[in-house]
Amino acid sequence: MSSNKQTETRPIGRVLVANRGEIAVRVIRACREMGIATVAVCSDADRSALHVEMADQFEVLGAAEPAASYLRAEAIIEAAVRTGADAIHPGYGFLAENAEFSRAVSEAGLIFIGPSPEVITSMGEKTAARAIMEKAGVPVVPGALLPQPDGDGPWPEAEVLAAGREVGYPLLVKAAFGGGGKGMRLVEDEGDLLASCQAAAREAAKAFGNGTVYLEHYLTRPRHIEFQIFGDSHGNQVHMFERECSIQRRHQKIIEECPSAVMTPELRERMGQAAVAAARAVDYEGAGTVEFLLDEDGSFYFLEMNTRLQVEHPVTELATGLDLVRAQIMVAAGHPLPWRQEDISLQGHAIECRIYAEDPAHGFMPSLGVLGVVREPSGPDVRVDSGVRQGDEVSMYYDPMIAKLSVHGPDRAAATERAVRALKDYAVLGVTTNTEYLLAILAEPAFATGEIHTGFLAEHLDGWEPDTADGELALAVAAVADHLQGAAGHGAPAHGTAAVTDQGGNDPWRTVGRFRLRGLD
Amino acid sequence: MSKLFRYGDEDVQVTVHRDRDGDGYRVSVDGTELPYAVRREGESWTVDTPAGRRRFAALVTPDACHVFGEGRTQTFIKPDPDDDDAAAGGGSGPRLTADMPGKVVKVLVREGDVVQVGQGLVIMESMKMETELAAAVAGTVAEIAVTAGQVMGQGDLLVVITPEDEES
Repeated sequence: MSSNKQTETRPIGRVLVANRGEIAVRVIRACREMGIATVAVCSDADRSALHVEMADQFEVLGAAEPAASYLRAEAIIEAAVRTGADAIHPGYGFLAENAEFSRAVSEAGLIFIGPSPEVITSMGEKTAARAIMEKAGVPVVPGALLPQPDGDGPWPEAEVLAAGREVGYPLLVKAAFGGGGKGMRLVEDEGDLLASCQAAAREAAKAFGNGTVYLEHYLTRPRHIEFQIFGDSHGNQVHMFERECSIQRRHQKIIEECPSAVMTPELRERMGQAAVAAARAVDYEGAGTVEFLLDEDGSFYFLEMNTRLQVEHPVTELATGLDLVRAQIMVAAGHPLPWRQEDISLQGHAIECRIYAEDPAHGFMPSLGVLGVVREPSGPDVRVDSGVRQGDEVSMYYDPMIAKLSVHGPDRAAATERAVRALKDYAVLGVTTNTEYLLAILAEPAFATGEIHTGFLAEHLDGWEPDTADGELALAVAAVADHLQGAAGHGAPAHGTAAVTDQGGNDPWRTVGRFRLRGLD
Repeated sequence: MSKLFRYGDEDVQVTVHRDRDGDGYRVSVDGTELPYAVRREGESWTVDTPAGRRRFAALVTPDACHVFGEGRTQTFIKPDPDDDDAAAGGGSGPRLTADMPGKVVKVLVREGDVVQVGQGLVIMESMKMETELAAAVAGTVAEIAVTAGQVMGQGDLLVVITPEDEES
């Protein structure tokens, strides 16, 4: 495991960020703070994206489809070499957990900001990870391997059904090389097993380049609690406490917190030790996450280990005051971790809300279009990680998560109040977002009391619909905005935050500038 | 100048005029003036109500006005009285259309198949998620307009069903 361990430092002066959206922006910000030059990569569709604008230079990888751009490992490494980058930061998703990519980066003489290819391989294959954790004494969820079809051949139905019976229903079909809820299906009874395996395999093949799936016992009301871990090339491994990620829809996290309302010092100690044991088992270097399911009876099981920066890392940063991306870069350069376990402490409570371009009132369908209005919240302990600006287009090619709103407060109640206020200030118009749905979650009495589990949304928000009552104020605003828009005429500078669509041209929306009302008088 | 907006289930006639004593605007809905003025404050729109000041953001498009306030987005359609097609349903009838741009992953039925309400017809992929589009009516599949791998635009025709009650 420690074959390519390095104890010498290698300076990092330029980083290529092999990602897009908010995480590319996050990494570029850290680099700028550290005086490190940045190279962005983009698809044709992203040439004017925020992450491209923010980087010192950029390279275009190809067409909009990820396979033709952000998943082109060779082209990305070539771009890094061509631009003189010392290191590649993969972000999350795309190539972040692709061992071949990590290996190829190292072989090109560059630093991969993340763990070794061996660790990515063993943890990326969820089945191998389970075996390693069992050996290290970390409890795992009961499950079963699955025979896979030959290429496009038929699935071995009898064996699949036998494996299903062995695990018992309900069960989860999971992508062996997956994560983030993609390539995953909940199966309630045997009749749906084969079709679910096929659908999950198809989705996994597309998202992760490998369609292998396996079965796992499904706990009915567990919490999803994960521990942030960090390791360096000097043999240090620490955890940075838990994140509560139980508010999920179709295994996609929506709201995350640090710390978890259910955690006691005693349980945190035991789970933290298991997380560090998991990190030690593979000599982990860099930022990683050990995911656990916590059952109602207080027992916990290793779910998987994510060998990358996690989407929800901001809640850990807010509650510990530490910068995970900076530490990733330091550790990748061969420096020891800047903190020991006893240096890391929790202050207050942090909550992250993921802003998705999707319509919760209509089956969470992705909502595509141009962001005619984006107005971000601000104020003390309010953090916005966004990959988009006003005027940007949300296209069908990429993940519908457009931004993350994270807040910090002295305790959970205060953090919740701050999250509510900030969401109420977060105006996004042009696509439908889940903002009102997020507010509905935060307003649930069961959220306030911390009684959350992975079935929370199904239990409390099933059939949720946006509030349509009392729209008179909004109607009045709509009427005035529309009136002034019409009065301004075509092509003339218009007003406020309104944008106008140019029906004749190809530009789907044209954002128009401000004018002062007094200017008309 | 008065304009038609869809408000709830009905269309209302809305007029806007400059506030007599201020720099705001007054709005009348079906002839009745609302008891407050709408003002523009920088990038926001504000309305002073007895319960306090409310702030909004607005986006005007040719077909609708979208208004955001207090975490809620409300959309007011501007019905075009000359356009008879405006009310035509999207993918809810015997003609299944794409709700959003995306790629056809799999067609689950064949022409001539008898399908039930809710039965999956086509699997579409958009934004890395697969969505199964289901039959809104029971009947016989009359036409399949797509093949797997095809990229569709929003509103494109996917499948046509001859409803049960129209079959001879």
